[in-house]
Order: sequence, then structure tokens, then C-alpha cells
Amino acid sequence: MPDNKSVLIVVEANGGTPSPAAVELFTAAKAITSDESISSLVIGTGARDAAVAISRFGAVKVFTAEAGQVSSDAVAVTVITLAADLNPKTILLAETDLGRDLAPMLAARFSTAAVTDVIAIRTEGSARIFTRPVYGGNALADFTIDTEPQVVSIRPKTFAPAPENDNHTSEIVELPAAKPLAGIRILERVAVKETGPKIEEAKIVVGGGRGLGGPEGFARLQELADLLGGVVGASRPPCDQGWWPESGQIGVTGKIIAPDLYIAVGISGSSQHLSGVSGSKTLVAINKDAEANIFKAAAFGVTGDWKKVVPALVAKVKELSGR
Amino acid sequence: MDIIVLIKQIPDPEIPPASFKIDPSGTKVVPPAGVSPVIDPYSEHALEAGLRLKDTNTGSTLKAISLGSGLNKELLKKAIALGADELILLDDPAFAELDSAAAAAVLAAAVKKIGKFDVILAGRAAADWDAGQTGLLLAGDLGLPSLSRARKIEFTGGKLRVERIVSGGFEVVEAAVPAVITVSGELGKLRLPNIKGVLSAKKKEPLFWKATDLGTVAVNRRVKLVRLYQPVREAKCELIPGATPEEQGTNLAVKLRELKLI
Repeated sequence: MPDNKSVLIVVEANGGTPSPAAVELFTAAKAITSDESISSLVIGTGARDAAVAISRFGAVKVFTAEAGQVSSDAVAVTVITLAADLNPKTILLAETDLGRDLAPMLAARFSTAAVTDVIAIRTEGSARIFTRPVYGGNALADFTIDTEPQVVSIRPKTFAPAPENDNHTSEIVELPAAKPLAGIRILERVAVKETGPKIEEAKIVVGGGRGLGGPEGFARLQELADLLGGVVGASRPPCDQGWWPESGQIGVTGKIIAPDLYIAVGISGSSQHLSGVSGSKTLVAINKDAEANIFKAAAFGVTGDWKKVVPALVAKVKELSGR
Repeated sequence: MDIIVLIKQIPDPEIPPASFKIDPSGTKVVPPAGVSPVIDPYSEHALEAGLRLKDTNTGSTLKAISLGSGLNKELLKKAIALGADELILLDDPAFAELDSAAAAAVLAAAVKKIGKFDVILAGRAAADWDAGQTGLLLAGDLGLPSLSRARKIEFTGGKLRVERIVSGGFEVVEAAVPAVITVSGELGKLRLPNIKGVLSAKKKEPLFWKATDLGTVAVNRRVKLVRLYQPVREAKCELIPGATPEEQGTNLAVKLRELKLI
């Protein structure tokens, strides 16, 4: 099909709700094709309810498949079967646990190729160009995929959620439930309770770096974060040193964040860290080294010793908020 | 059990951003002068996983494979120093700058040449191109089940028991062998070699396999790199005034309040 422009969007459903990252895939799809060429597969728990919600974002057809325990191999089988029928030029996934697994699985099955963790998509002539960070955020790479279907996973929070159109409805088609493959059996799922809100979803994040000098500094950052209703995270060195748990690591190799306000304290600003916080709406850097790389990315900067700056900041915030 | 570990040689990812340069052709990284390549940190976790499996399963063998062009033999012999029985270097100019799919195809051919194995371990990604695909593509090419992001791997009663990192916790999964497992950083750091290991690595040479040793293997790139470039960061930082750090801290609070950010 020479003029094939179709895009299949894979949406994860959790308890009847489409995942926020999946809603952003519609914006990515609209950057390269028209609404009429978009179809979607909604897979997970409460897939049908999630499909009704997703139909407001513009797909012509929404396929649904219930999957109680989402395992990537079971989802892969469903996507492969559907894509073989639909013949999409591009399959869009979110770069989540599931999408990260699915991209290479689908690429292998279709003898095609995937580009993962994409942060921009554009069309040049007849070519679709996918941009992703490489070398720990030191560089960006533009790729084309010569084979079809092109499998592309999109980094969450790089595209805005697609606008909802209450008047738009899609044809909803139910598919058989996804079944896990033989060979792998999930024995148990263990939830590890994270204290407080998730760092990826927080509106305000306070990050600490090597400059804090030890684990004690994080108690001061926690005080600031609590005051602001935010969450504390860390760059890679404090996590490597055991000053802060690895689950709170911010950066390409940790959590990608896009808060309204990010306050980076004692963080010099490695490429992998800056790449992971590039979605922050306002970045404030506190660092005594005026030459630190973080100031190249910051909107506001304080060049001073955090041990003196942060307590003064905390005191003034308390005063302003009347606490 | 018979274990295969994939170890990738990459440019040192810890170099300062200022030393990172891209070739004027816009498709290659210029290796910084005087900085040696390293074993990819995720590959190191995979190697540690393999060594632990070998420790706990008497009579196991471990083969380490590395793929590239102009590989650094001395660097990769670290695998032997740590306890690998064999180091296989897939080293050929034809193997330069492969994409994930082509790399997986070459590795699949090498694995078939090795023949007997129970588990293939790889890092969950590599710290240069960060694609996170090769291990799972290899599983697909070989028609094997794959498990990603393992933080703990055991082999009991002829089955693999793997703890996988998933969002918000972990998953305990049982799998039959043979299987491919990608390993996450949470598994733990690579051990240090002992004297005995270092001596054995001095004596033992790796096997070198070229493209022609692997029979017909397609190394076509399906992904085309159009351009490699450095992100432009605008240096428009507004410095918060103040005679002392305390005053700056106070002024920062006022500024953030003015902007309605707090």
C-alpha cells in the first residue's frame, strides 16, 4: 500500500481508565497522520470502559481486549494478530514497562525495527523521522525506519495529552481476551509501597545531588518538599552512594519527570540528568559552582551554599504561607 | 547449567559533557582522546547475574560474548578474570555500527554456533544508544521466551525463578529453559576479580569469530540514522540577587511566590 498512512495506537487500560501516557500517543499520532488513519487497541483491565474514554481522542476504530494480568507476551500476541489484519504503517506504544518490552517483541515478530523512547516525530517528504536521546542525553539522534510496520515507543510527558472531543465516537470492536503464552508463569506480583506521591506525577519536585555531601542533606530537602506539597528525588551519585533510594533517581537511567517546578539542589547537571528533567516547566538551580552545567538549563539560579540558601528559603516560604 | 552472557564495549558514559563531541558527518561520536572504552554498566550487571548462577549451580559453564569492530581484548578479558570459561569476540569490520535488529541477528547466529545453552543474559539496555532492544530481539529471533529487567535470578528444579522489576514493585516469574533474561541495575554491582582470576585471564585467549565464521547472517540496517546532534540548551538563567546566601534564599521564596509557583 504505497499511500499507507495508518497508525495503530496501543493503549494500556488500568481498571477502566486509559493510562495517561497512552492519551499522549494521540497527539504524537496526529503529528504524522490524519484522524481518519488512526485506530487503537485498548488492552488491560476494564478495557471496554477505557475504550469509551479513549474514543473521544479521535480514533476511527477502537479494538478492546480484556487482560486480567497484563503480561507483555500475551499483549504482544494480541497486537501481532490485530496488526496483521490492519496492516498499519506505524505502531505507537508508550515507553512504559509494557511498551519497552513490546517494541522489540513486535519488531522481531514482524522482521521490522523499532525506535524506542522517542521524544519528537516529524514528517519530511514521505519520510517519518523519529528523534530520541542517546549517549545518556549527550546527543539526540534522528532515525527513519525502512521497514513496516514501524514500531515506535514514545517517552511519557513529551507530548501533551490530546484534546478531548465529546462529539467524537469511535466504532468499538471487542477482541478475545489476551492469554499468556506457555513457558512463562507469573507466580506473584509484589507491590512495593512508595511513600507519598509518585515522583513522576508530582507537581513540585526537589532534587538533591552530590553537592549535598551526604544523606543528612536529604532531610533538609524533605522539609522543603513537604512545605511545598512536593516530592524529593535525587540525581545518580546520591543513589549510587546509598544516600537516597534508587527508586527516587531522576534522569534518563531513573525516573523521567515533568513537574511545574523543579528545584535542583547541589546537582551539577549531567546530560543524563538534564535529559530526564527537560520537561520541567520551571527549573530552579541552587549550586555554589557558578559554572555548573545545571545553570544552562535553569530558568532561575542561586549561586550559593545550599546549607545557607535552603534554610532561608524554607523560613521565608513558611512566613509567606503563614505557617 | 550452561550460561551465555552478552557484554558490550562502549565509550565511557561518565565523561564530562564538555568532552562529548560529534563527528562533522553528523552520524558518529568522536572518541575523546585518552579515554578508554569500558564494559557497558548494564552488561556488568548481566555478567554478575551469570556468575551468581554459576556459583550456585555446580558444574555450570559461562561463555561471554561481545560484538563489535576493533574490540578491546584486554578490557573484555575481565570476564575471564571473573570466572567466564570462554570469551568469544565477534569482531569484524562488518559488525561496526549495527542497529539493534542487526546486532541481534549476528548474536543469534553466534548462539546457534555455540549450540548448547540454558540461559542468555544481557543488560536491560546499553548506556551508549540506550535502545533497550537487543536482548529481547535476540529472544524473538531464536523463538525463546524472554524476561526483562530481572533483579534476582535463581535456577531450581530445572526452572528459572526470576524477580522482575515492574512499575510499583516486582513480579516473581517462573520460566522454562532455554530463555533470555535482561538484567536490571538493581541486581547488584559486578564483583572484583581475584589474583587467581587475573592470572588465568593472562593465560587464556578469547576466541575470535568473523562474519564468515557465522555462515549467512543478514547485517542490514533497518533503522537509518539520519543525524546525530547535541541538544541546544538556552543559557537564559536569571540569577537571584542577594548579598548573602541567606538573602538569596529569601529572595528566591519571594520570586517563586510572585510567579505563583508556590
